[in-house]
Amino acid sequence: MPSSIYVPDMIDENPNGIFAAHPNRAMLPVIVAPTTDARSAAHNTIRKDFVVVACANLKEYNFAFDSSVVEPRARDGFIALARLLARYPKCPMSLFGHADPTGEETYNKWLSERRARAIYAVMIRDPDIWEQLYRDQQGAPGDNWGLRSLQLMLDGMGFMPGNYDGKMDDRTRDAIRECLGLPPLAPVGNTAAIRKAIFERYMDWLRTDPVGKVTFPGLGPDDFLGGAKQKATLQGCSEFNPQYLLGRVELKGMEAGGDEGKAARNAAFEPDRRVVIYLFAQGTKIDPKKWPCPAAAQGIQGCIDRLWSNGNDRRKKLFENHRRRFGRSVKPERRELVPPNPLVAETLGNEETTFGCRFYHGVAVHSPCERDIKMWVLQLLVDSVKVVKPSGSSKSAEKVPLANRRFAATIGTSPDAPVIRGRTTINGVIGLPYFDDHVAILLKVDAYADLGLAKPPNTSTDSQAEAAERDFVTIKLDAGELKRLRVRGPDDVGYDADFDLEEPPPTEDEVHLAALQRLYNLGYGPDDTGGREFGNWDDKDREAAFSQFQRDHPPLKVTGKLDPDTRRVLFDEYGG
Amino acid sequence: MEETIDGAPAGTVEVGKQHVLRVASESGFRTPKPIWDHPDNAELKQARVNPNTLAPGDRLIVPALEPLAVSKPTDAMHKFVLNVSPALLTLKLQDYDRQALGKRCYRLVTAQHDPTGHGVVPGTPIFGETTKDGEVSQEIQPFASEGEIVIHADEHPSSPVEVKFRLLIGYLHPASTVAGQQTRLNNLGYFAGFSEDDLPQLRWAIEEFQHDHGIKPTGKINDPKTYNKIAHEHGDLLPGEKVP
Repeated sequence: MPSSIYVPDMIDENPNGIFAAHPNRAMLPVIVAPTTDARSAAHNTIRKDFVVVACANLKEYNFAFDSSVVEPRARDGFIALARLLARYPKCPMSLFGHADPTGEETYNKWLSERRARAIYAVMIRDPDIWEQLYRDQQGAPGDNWGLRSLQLMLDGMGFMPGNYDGKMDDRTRDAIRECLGLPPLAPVGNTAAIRKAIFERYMDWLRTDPVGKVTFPGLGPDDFLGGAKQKATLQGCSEFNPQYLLGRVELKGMEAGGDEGKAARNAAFEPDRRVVIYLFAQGTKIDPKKWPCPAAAQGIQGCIDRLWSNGNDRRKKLFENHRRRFGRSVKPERRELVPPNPLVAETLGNEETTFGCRFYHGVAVHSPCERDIKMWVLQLLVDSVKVVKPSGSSKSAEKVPLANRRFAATIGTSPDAPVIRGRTTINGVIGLPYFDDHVAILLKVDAYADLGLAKPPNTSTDSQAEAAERDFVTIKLDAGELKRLRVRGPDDVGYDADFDLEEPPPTEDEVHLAALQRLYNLGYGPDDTGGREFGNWDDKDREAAFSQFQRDHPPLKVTGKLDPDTRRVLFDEYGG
Repeated sequence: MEETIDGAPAGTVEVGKQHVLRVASESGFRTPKPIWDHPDNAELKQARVNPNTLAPGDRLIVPALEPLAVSKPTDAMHKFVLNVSPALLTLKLQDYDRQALGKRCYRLVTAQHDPTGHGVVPGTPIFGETTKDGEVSQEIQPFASEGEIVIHADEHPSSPVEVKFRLLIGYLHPASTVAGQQTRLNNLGYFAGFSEDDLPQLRWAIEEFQHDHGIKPTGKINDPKTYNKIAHEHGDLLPGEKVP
């Protein structure tokens, strides 16, 4: 059956990564053909959907360089992850490790898988998995944990081994004794038993936040898609799915720039090195034998077999002077390839073209953990009762959000239009996926009581709970008529100089129209009845709307025009 | 003579989003056979193969309905029974791994457009049990245009609802069209996009389908080998049939 696009209603972004929920699901109808006796064998096959409900992108920040050792600063990441998991109990998970394009594919397959495994071990609190990573570097000889990793962990927990020199000196021995509660002079060394005890304590430390009183949920292998055998539970994607690619000239310059250049290159590729965890809908079951991702021990051929037909162009081909990023398109005039190839340039200039693996692309394409999601964000507000202060001054009606109301939004007008159902957030916010620049949205909200209207009798014969939707308050929206409010600045989340500086600032006309649309949405202007909808406002209506807004917002001067102060207050009140 | 479908005993019907069965019922035929097998429709029959998957804009010639002469005495009451061949709605339900869903309790409601006004008139809910191959096969009104099927977690009606599908009946386009490929791929669990403009998503779905069904992935839209395979996997084409 048709798959879905999700809209995040909660995104937590910090240096550890992105932790996002996707609650509102766009559903298409299943279109089928009837048949007759003459063709009674004809049918319609409908396959159940593979549904992602939330994600966490644990960035490289959580790891030591070129290593699967989990850094002490990853603790904040596990706490954020615990908060996300608390919202999605019993949703099976799968972890995808990713490496950057430098280095060899087989090596990176091992490293990315080992990083996913190291995170998985903390999630299920299994020190034996770490012991295997410690003992055997497998296909990633650079990923040698060593005593240094223990010193890092001891230091993180506050036991001060001196430094991370990988030497078993007195200070390190003292730190181990202190950590494990052993008497002074008790014999300690770098043995499997000691390591296991330190790993256990460090994992417990990573999984708890004494200040916020958050504890990581008790998980086992069965909370993951493939169970304990790890196929479908975790995988390394090597460098097949970069999120970010540099321009060719820029990269060449860095690579010729000695150590400094290489450091700059490594910094630029930072978004590519990540472990992304996907949470699937409750009850999702798959057969791990049919799962396409091979373990690193099986080599990379299984990955290569699953690449797009143009997978190597997608993940490797560089524009001369422009970066490529998943979820962002590159303007036609900047899609320069040497030698020129207009067809390939056009394909690669599109939004979703950096992942080489087609299977991963399908899982990740609408994930807020891998891209900026474009969405329509609406906040529903109603007038509260007028407040009269003791001093006698009357405050104009407060706008209060319509929180936690059920809604159903139909995107477009055709019978096969997708429908999104959900609840408004505590701030009355609804996020709807972006479909097109101009689209009609029919929004139904369970809000009769809020608007002081009598709820109509339920005339529906449908026994399903959703039947009540027929009686929801209906709002028609023209998405796409909203104009940009301001240029995105460097402080905005997701700002990318390579992509965003090309955005021209909005014109005065655009700002004026945007202001009027916001006034209209806030309930200013003439009554809707009698054909005086927004599109039919005249100059007098506009002046009256501005004046009323200014009177409601002292100390604004009542000018009836969009002066700079009014503009600031209006856009502040409406929200970015 | 060209007339619209309403009250046209004979003529040309431009198919909006419908199927021969509905045209036959609306024109007073008991079965779609006389229409579909009429020599004037030979070209369309060759192009579409399956009379239940026509494209918008297809023109269907409806032959004149031969009046049935019956000789009966006028001094008695006579009962005439009209047998109209019913429509069948057949669904095969699969899990994510493309295995049959097995025995499940289901609840199916179909609805037809209200001839007197706007909206739809829902019919009586039908409760049933899928076969062990996950198959639902149910007689429905030829005019039914939409519906909903609710699938439970097992064969007991008291088990929790596992999945629900909103159905649009009779809107399946031929496999040789972009919309036809998109719809079938969506049903088969290869997400092919929300609109016909979303070609990158359609190419994704085609490549994934090709990969899973032994065709070298090309992502090519409107490729006859691929779209025939899609229609056969979907089940609207019978073994041996081929859409040009």
